[in-house]
Amino acid sequence: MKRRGFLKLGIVGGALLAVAGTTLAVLPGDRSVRPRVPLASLSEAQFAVLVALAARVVARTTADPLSVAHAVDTALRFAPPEVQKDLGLALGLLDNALVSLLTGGRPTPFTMLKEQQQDEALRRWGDSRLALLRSAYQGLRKLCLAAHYATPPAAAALGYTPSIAKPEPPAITARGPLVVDLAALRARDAVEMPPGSPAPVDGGTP
Amino acid sequence: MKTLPAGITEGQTLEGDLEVGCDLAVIGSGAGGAVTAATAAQAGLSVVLLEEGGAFGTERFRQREDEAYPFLYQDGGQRATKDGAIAILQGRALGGGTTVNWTTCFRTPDYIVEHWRKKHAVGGVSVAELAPHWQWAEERLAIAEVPLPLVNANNQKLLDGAKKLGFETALLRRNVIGCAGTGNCGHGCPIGAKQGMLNTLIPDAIKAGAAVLTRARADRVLFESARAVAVECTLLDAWGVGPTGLRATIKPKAVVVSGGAINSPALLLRSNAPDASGRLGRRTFLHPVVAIGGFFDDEVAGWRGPPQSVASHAPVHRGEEMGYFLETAPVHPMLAATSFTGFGGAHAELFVNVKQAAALIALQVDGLHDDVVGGTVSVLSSGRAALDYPIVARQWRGFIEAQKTLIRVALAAGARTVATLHEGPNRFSSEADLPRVDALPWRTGSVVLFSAHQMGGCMMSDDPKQGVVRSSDLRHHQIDNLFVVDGSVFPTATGVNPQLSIYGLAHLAATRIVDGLSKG
Repeated sequence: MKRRGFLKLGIVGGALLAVAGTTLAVLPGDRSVRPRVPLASLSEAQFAVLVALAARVVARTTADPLSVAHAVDTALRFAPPEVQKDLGLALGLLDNALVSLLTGGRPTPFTMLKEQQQDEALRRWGDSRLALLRSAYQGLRKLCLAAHYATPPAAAALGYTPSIAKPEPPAITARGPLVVDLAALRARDAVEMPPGSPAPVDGGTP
Repeated sequence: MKTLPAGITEGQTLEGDLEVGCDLAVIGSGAGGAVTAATAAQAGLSVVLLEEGGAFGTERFRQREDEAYPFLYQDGGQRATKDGAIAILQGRALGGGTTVNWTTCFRTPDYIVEHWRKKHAVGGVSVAELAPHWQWAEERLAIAEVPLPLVNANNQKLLDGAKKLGFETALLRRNVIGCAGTGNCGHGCPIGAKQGMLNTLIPDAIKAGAAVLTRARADRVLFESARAVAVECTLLDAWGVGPTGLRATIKPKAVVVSGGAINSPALLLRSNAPDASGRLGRRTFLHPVVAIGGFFDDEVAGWRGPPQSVASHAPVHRGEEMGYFLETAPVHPMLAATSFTGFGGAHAELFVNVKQAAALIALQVDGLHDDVVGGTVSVLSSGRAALDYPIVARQWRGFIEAQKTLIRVALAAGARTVATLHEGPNRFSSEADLPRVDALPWRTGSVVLFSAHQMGGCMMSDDPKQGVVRSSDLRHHQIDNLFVVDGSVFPTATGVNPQLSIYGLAHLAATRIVDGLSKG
């Protein structure tokens, strides 16, 4: 019950939640999409819905929906567990035929709809009278867009390039140090500084 | 019990539990904590500065949004109000918010400080008393007006449009040395030009002997007979997500909480700190932002140059209605993509022209009206902080007014079309369209709102019924050796970008705290 408060569910929202868990098995959606690597935050069923959703959110871009969905799954690790759960739940609701029917759509899971019908379903959530559905729509929409446009190729396609060239720092490992050995970094690769830059200091990390 | 060496110890690299004694434990290394730690260390106190974020330095700042948000922001850049309505950009790194802020510096306006004195019983921190501390910060952090050639096209649009409408405008002051306008203030300055805490007060503190422990999340402060006796921390892995399974316990003579608004009250709530005022976690303010994208015929490339260099405070005094001020936001691909609404073709069709877009923002000054009481911080079952921030009718009216002003400014600057951040039809191309602004879907989840400034939640007041800490030295009203030094003590929003307000107040308070502790 605690999580209900988190998305500020109203009475109708509560009813939606009540059916969410029960009907998935009755009218299963399309689960043929499998993750490429083990998932960090979502279940495989939630992931399959996310791939279908991502395909519509980043439609007309060069994005690969499966890559977008993996990036979203990775990004969710940084969110509070409660938010991860809520977004997973929202994906379940989106693919729930009965919820779809109750909110004015067809009694068909999202993953089984045609592209145009999926767009209609998303617009219905975005324009819903229920704050819960609008909130879920925004959260999922933003995560997919962020996952795509944060990648250097997508940014470059818009004309964005980093201002300066910088050497690649060592990869981050779970227990490894973050503070970089500057001498080693400098020896490996030069930093190209733009005109007007301050004289090189010790990297900023004291 | 041992001591930590001066310098940075990275929590994720430790191989055993840690128990450390010291004079002062400072929780959080942002604008409040770093200033306090440096001031105390320079006065000869042994200081442990705790930071939940990672020790990322200039060499790791690579102008990439996909690295900056996960590693340098709260919740990996996904922090938001509980209903998701307001996206909250808040730093989480060594140097706190100052590592990712857009470097804008203002002294706290007189009318705000006066409002605090009259309305919230804030004494001992008048403008006259704060002035030497602001001056100290301005000198230490090289705060100076942006040179005109660094004003980018995005800010030039604000300047042009606001001037045409007869609004007073000003060039901003920034804490930088040798800024080359890479545009990456929000991603960690890639050339070390930003004079945030990472490059200034944290090295100062270390030079004076302070120990810094990163990737240490303060779970709770322990109290015994109305005194703070320990700070218990979970050590996190280098990603800042999972616990390493090890713990650090700091046993200081006094504790300074500097986790920033939202996190500081959450820590005290988790700690079951006494709260005679009933105000702990309450009155959290956000300077909620409405924004527009103005699309021009010429290239704006709003990702280049200092993100902010121009502001207009012309609409800040609006009496019974909500005041607001105008600034810009950088237009980097990810930040902008999540701001523009819609999806699929509709989104891509607008967004493909983002290089021609200027982003103008209006920041609403919340907390000055009796019915605008801000948000309430709570602790989720996972221990993480949440903020419930209901938006009241007066604020929605203010958003509508601010939205109209932003559209007018962009059109006056020559925008061909202006997109608001609402779902549904949201394009404007002439002043004649302005009445349509009222009919936009002004409700949560239908318009993208932001906050880059978090304030309040542990408000200061000399009246223990009104405030969590007293104002003169930010000492907790019920716990003698507990202080809160950060933006959470502000009784209302500051009405300006808050970093210099925090530096000044922190330096004033730290000076008094150190004085008090040294005496005894």
